[in-house]
Amino acid sequence: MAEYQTNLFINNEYVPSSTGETFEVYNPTDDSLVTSAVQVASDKDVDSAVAAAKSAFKTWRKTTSSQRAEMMIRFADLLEKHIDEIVKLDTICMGAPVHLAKWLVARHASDFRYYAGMIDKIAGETYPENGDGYFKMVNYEPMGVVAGIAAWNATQLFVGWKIAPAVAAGNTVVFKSSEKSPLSVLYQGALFKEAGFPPGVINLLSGAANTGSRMASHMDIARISFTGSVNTGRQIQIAAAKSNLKLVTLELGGKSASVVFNDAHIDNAVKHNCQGFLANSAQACAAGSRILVQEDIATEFIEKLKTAYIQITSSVGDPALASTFMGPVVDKAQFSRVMEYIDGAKKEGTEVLVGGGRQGAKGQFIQPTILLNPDRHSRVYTEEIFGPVVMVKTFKTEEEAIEMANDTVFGLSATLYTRDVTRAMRVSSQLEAGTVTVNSGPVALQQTPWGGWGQSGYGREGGIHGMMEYLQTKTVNINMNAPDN
Amino acid sequence: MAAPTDFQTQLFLNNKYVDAKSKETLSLVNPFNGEPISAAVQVAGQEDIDLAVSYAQVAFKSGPWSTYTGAQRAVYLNKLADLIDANAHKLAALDSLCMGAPIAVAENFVVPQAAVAFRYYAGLADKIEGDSFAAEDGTYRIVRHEPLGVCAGIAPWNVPMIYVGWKIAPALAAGNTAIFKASESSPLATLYLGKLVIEAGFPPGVIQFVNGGGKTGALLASHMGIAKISFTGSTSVGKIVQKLATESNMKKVTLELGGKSAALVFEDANIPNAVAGTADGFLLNSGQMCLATSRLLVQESIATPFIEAVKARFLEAASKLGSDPLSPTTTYGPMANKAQFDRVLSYINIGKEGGALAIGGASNGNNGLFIEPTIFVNPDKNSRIYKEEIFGPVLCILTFKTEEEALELANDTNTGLSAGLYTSDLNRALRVSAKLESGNVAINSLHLPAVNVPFGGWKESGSGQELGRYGFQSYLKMKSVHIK
Repeated sequence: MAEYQTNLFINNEYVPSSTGETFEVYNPTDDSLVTSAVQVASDKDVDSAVAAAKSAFKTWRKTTSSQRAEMMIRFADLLEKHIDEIVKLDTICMGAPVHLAKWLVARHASDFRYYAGMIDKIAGETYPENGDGYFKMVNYEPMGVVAGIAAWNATQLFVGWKIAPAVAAGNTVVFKSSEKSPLSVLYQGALFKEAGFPPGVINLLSGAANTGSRMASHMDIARISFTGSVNTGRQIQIAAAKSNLKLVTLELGGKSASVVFNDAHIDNAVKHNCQGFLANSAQACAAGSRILVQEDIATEFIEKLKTAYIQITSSVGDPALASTFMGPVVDKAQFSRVMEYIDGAKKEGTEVLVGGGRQGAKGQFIQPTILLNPDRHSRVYTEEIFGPVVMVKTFKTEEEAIEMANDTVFGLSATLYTRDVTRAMRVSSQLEAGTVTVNSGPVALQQTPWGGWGQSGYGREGGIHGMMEYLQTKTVNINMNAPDN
Repeated sequence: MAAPTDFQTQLFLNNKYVDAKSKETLSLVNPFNGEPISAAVQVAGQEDIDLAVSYAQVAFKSGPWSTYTGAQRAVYLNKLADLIDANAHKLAALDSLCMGAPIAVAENFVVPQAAVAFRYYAGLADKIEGDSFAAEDGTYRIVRHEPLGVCAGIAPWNVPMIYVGWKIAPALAAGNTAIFKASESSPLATLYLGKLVIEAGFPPGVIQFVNGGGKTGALLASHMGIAKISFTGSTSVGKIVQKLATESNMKKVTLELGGKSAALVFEDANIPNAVAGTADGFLLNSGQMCLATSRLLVQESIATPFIEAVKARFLEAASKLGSDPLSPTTTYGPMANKAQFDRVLSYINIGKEGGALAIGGASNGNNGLFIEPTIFVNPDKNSRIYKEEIFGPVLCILTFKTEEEALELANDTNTGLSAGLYTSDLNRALRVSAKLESGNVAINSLHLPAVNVPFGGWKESGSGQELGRYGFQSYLKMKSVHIK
């Protein structure tokens, strides 16, 4: 078995768990054991990490913008230098295809560069003393120790989103990877150190629910940013409230709609609803898993979609190969979950247009699957599946499309396909989602905020909003009418 | 150290050093020893400027630069910053040779500030934000911020390398292309940058350097293909630039002009700190700074000892007069060129006739263009030495009784670039700084521009501003789009 970094990274040192507890990670490509030595951060370890971060904050908040920027840019350079190692670690832990994993590392590096450039650009406001006699300033100040908990599906994106703006804003960070993809994160501890971040500024923990729970209830953590399931998100919010009312960002699930109008460019819509949807085995919070296609083009669209799905099935395979488009799902548990949804749909009589079963004989591979017209109240139509299963329904009018698209407790993303400029503006303004994308699959672009409406969560990552979340306002009022001494 | 001897003397156009089509050259003189500098720097004439503009336009409209994302532009800006830092000594020496700045100041402060500007604006390149408004009346509205095109920068000779950062970095971060002209007195460091521009990987035509004096500057200010000009220099030339810009194509104009700034020292000031700021601080660059507080206003109750303390600092500086600016221990240099030397001396003579000379007043050294740190105490408020910018080591000191009087004195000028204010009282600090008619106020220190806040003059000290996000906005234009 290869040597992996499996220790916790606290105060710029790699240390084992204080209890010696470990967990295993399996490679979903072939079900082989990757390692059984990943350290579990105990309550004591979480406390140590937070204490280190708290101590580091005193000095970190006083480092100059250019000092922080220099470290962040150096870290981005190091990420790019080590891209192959990091990609490999994510691929073996959770099955991300190499081309996608590479893109995610590049994005993570660019997020560090982006926020490095933002540090000295955030201005507070001032208001003159006319009228109320007070000279007023509104300053933006860091919060202290902040925490990030990542999901496993796009790990590098979360490392970038949850650490870069936080440290740029002057906070210190305790970050926990998902127990399904811990290795690529622990690896980066050495890179943070090499980039010059002082001890305690960035701490990296591995562990599962208990570790996360300790972080959510910690009295010295000022904000926690969580990406993952709705249920866990709920628990985090409760723990945060019960402990110290820490601020919470939740990036949760979705059941996003992809609305295809009669005047859409059909091949473009097919491409994004096939490759776009299936990327990462559709294990994406924003996956457009409900395709709503306007009646007049439905037959042609569905036929083309079916062909595309059948064709792409041949490039499902070993994610370590450059030629593979889609790998397995992350693990056995996820595989069972997805299959349960598919079987449930079959039992309800829903037509399986393509796929619907296991792909290949070994590993956790699922066939790209299209379900036709499931019932609006069925589990498969209302609950997040988080796997390569898309469903298609038709609509007559724009109003119906909007009503169907919004008929969900979620609101993370929505996409629509049309060439009509006014329709694009009109429909996007009525879709109830945090991000609406026109004429492609959902994209989380660097300059814009990403986050959910409804039960998809609250708070925003990315763009300037992503950094503002790590700052708190302080209003300073100076009485200009105080008498002279 | 020995003076540098290998120089670039051509124009830097489209990523190449090329001969100018005009046959004129500049005569450069080392102000320390009066010796000519053997660099026949070529002057850009009409054809050369036309060529530069056409290269810059192509680079802006259809060259690779026009396809780069903000993040990609940032990479090049950061690279150039690194190269400037790596070459700081060489660049500082070239400036020092031409215009006499002490090399320690040039290398440790001025040149690094250019790199600071490149890094600051690199961080804004991918953060250009427009506006979006919901359709209350059935029409969606967005505001786009778009680059201007070809942007020209004209710099003076006093801190040459800083202007490279201040005028080129924001232009490029916004997606424009830049043509830059250093002063005819101090072109060498700027010209050397062409090498670094190539090394940083900028596509051709994105950054270009032309040389020349007023004629070349006028060509830039009147060119129909230039979208914006940013000029730092004297008020009288600034007005000409504005006129030429308006009469040609109404190009956008930013002007950073002169000042006759006041420093106010109140009785509750920390005296040693105030002396340092108003005496040593004033003598930075031998007083050749647009933001120099050349009018020192001291509250009567502390005036006598304060003025003695300032005199002592001036005498201390004078005792070190005459050393080679290229020596790393030199702190006080000569006037940058003969014209400036003559100008300052003629003001001193006017002042002497007025009878208020306290110390200094003479040139020093047989070869170098050194002028003694000079103080006039209580000169006539209507005298030319009190009203006009001298741009040399000549300080006028007046006293005041009350805060109101201090403000009246301070604001009694058609300039408004900088102001200094020394007090330990919280309310006075805020109150007086609010009432000073100046684009910049420094409380309890020498005023040094910072890259994150705008630097610009009120009244005839200029129009528009450089630095900060405000400075960045001036390299973009707005477009409102209404979608029904």
